[in-house]
Amino acid sequence: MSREYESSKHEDVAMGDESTSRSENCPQPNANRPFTLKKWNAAATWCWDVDCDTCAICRVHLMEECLRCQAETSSECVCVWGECNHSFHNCCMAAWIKMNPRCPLCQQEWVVQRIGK
Amino acid sequence: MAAMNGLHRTSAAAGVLTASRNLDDVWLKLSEGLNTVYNGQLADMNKERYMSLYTEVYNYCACVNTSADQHHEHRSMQSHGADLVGMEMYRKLENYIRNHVVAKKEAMGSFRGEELLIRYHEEWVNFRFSSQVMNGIFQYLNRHWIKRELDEGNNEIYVTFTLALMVWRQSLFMQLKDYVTDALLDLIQRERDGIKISTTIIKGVIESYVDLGIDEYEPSAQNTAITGNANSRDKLRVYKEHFEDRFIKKTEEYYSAEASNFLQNGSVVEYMKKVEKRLDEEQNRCGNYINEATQIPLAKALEKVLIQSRLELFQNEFGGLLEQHKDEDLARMYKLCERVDRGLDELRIALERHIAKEGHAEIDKVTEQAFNDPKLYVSTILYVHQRYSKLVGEAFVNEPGFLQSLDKAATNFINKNSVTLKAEKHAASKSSELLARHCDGLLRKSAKLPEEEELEKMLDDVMIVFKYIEDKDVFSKHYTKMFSKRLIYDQSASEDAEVSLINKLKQNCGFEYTSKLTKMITDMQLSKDLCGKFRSHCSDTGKDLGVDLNILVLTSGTWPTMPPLQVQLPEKLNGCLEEFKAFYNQKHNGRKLNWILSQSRGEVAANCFKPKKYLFTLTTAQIALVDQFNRSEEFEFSALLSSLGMDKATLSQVVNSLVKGLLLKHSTEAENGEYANDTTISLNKAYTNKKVKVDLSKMAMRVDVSKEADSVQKNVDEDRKAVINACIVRVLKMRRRIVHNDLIAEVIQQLSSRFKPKVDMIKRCIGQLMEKEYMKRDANQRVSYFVLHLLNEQTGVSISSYFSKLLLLIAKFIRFCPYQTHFIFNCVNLPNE
Ligand SMILES: [Zn+2]
Ligand SMILES: [Zn+2]
Ligand SMILES: [Zn+2]
Repeated sequence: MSREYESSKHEDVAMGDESTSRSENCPQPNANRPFTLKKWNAAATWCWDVDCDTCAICRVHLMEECLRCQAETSSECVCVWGECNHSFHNCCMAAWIKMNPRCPLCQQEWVVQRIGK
Repeated sequence: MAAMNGLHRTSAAAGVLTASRNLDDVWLKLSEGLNTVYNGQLADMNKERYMSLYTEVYNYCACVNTSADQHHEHRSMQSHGADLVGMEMYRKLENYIRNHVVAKKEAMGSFRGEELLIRYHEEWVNFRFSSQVMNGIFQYLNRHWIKRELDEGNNEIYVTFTLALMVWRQSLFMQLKDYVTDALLDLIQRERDGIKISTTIIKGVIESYVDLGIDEYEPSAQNTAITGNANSRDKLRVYKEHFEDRFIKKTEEYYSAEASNFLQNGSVVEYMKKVEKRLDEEQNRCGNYINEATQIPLAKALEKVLIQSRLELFQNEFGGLLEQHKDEDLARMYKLCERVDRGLDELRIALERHIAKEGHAEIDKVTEQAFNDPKLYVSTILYVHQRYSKLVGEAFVNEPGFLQSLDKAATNFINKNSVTLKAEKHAASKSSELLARHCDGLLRKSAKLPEEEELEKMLDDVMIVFKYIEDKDVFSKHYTKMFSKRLIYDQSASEDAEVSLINKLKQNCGFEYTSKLTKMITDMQLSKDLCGKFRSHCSDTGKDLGVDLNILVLTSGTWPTMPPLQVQLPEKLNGCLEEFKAFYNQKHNGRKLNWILSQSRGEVAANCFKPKKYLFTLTTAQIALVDQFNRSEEFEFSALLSSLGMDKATLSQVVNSLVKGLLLKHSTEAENGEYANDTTISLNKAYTNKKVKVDLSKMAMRVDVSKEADSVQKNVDEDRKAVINACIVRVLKMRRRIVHNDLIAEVIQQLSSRFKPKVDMIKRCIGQLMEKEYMKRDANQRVSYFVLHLLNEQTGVSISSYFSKLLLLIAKFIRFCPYQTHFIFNCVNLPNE
């Protein structure tokens, strides 16, 4: 939203007059290549790299905050992966292992493989 | 009665013969004094004379007491003696006053009307004053003999002043009261007819009615005429009985007749003005010379005959006044009808009907244009709403019932009208869509941006309409979609304005309603930071991407779903994405990026259209296509297909957009939206445009409004189910056990600010949640539900499904002894820390 709509300034100005520093860095079109890309605004979505996108503990989608975090509108609710490659909300898992040191899905001993960031 | 009592005691009074004999002498002096007092010669009553009369009474009473003490040791005898002399003096006084009053009555008894009033008034004023003087002279009798009689409960004896009033009432008032009241009422009627009258006499006479309200049977009331602290109901007894009742009756007759006469020729509006004036007059009249206690019954009587019995008339006129925008008269009618019981009911109904009618009529006028002109649609609605919210505010002082009429009517014509009907299957969401589009129009960059204050006002107006939208979740869908476009395409005019509207929505519908919108703004900020870091990372590591690259990383699930696009990107762009991905994975852990090429755009410089150089804004698919023309000036369609890896329909659409944009030429037209494989696509070297910066991306992205509406509608039901599920779980978490119908009612109540959930859907959701083992029918109380699966308050952690299955087994087993179930569930719901 706050990105500058840079080229809007150059309306009705001949290309040759263009002199912003950024466009100087870009290659100028030449006779062999009639079209040159100067600017690209690309969009992507991110999600956790998981096999199953629902947390088996609280049954909420992993891309959403776990139930407790939703209730408390707290800061960050990230995803955690075990060695078994099962994934849960980190908060859910943290509470879970206090009563059971095994993965709730496969019953293997719970070892953290990585924590989402 | 009193005389009998006196006779009764004579036998025991031998010892007071002296005092008795004295009385004749004493009375001679006293009656002379009383003559002076009662016959209007008070000027002769100087202080010495007054004191000597007082002393006579004193000496007489005191002397009797003393002689009684000397001759009789027995206490009862003493008191009997005193009784007797006191009584005799009292009787003489009473006789004297009665004779005086009867003479007065005889003197004025033949007069009627105003003459009677004048005389009655004059005599009353004199009598009352004289009696006060008399009361002073007999003060010793009051303080001793009378006081003792009163203390002993003798209710036939009065303080001398009260005695005087009593005699006046019995021997004069009761004989003349009907004539006096007639005269009062005549005089009042003359004033009502507009003739000037002297009100001091009326006021004085009416005061006599009040003064005469002494109660002969209640000891506590006996001193009231002097001390004035009796309760006012008793005090007003005579007034009410002999004046007020007749006055009210007469008033009703008078105004009933007046109203009928007036309405034969006069208009209702004139009638209302007249009633207003009459109500005022009567209130003043009552305040001026009638007792204040009559205000309420008088107002009631007037309201009855002037308003209540004419309600139908008002109701019939109300619609016409609304039509003619007669706000002042409407206010007048409101004030009158408000005074009587249920007087506003019909008006409220009529107002609601009228506003709804006006709303529909205004919208009907612009149906065709407004269908695709959100601004016109919203301003039409606001025009009607403002007109009537002003009316309700000013004429009806925002009375809650009228506000409700406005709300009901607005809800009616905003959610269902000729424009929404035109949308056919999208009728239910048409208003939401148009309102969201109107917001988009306000918040999008445009040539003439409104001032900040003006914009704020416009956003407030949006909220007025929003308040009435029934399916607020549908609005949210449309809004989110347009908001996401504004953000992604950098078309939002002001972040402050965006945030301001989001806050207004939040105030209306709560935090949850806008949480995604807020997260979207956060994503934008994070992306901006990330791009900055990426740029410095590139310059630090000496990498030149060869393009000004901006990347938005959006949290999936937070943004509306965006269509996928399959396309082989130019080498350079692929390189950019790989570079960014590597950078992103350094910053984050466990995240997966999905490029949404359909939402990506770029700027391409072209130098092939001599003599000018142009800068084109293109979608990513268009970029990939024009990049092909860096290799050759013309292609067969099939060649483009294979090198871009796109499907035929999509590529045809992209090619067509650039053909329409005059950048490319085709050898044959596309058929049914698709090009034949052997169609030749070539660069239009003759391209020319007076602008050097040309946006062709919009041609490729032209949005089909009805398709858009389709996709929104499709998701509504799914999303509602999710929201209902969350709500059911929330209720269960709080209540633990809840009866089926209560649960449904609670869910409807909690969600009412967003949409009206259908009971069927809630039931289905409950069923699904039970299947998923979130809850279960209780074994003891068949109609209640139980959170089986879910949370415990301390940890917020659920019992996992294997654990809950175990519980189910236990529960099944326990069905044989159901009273234990609760116990077990309670244990399970508290996993140890
Ligand atoms: Zn979770
Ligand atoms: Zn959490
Ligand atoms: Zn596992």
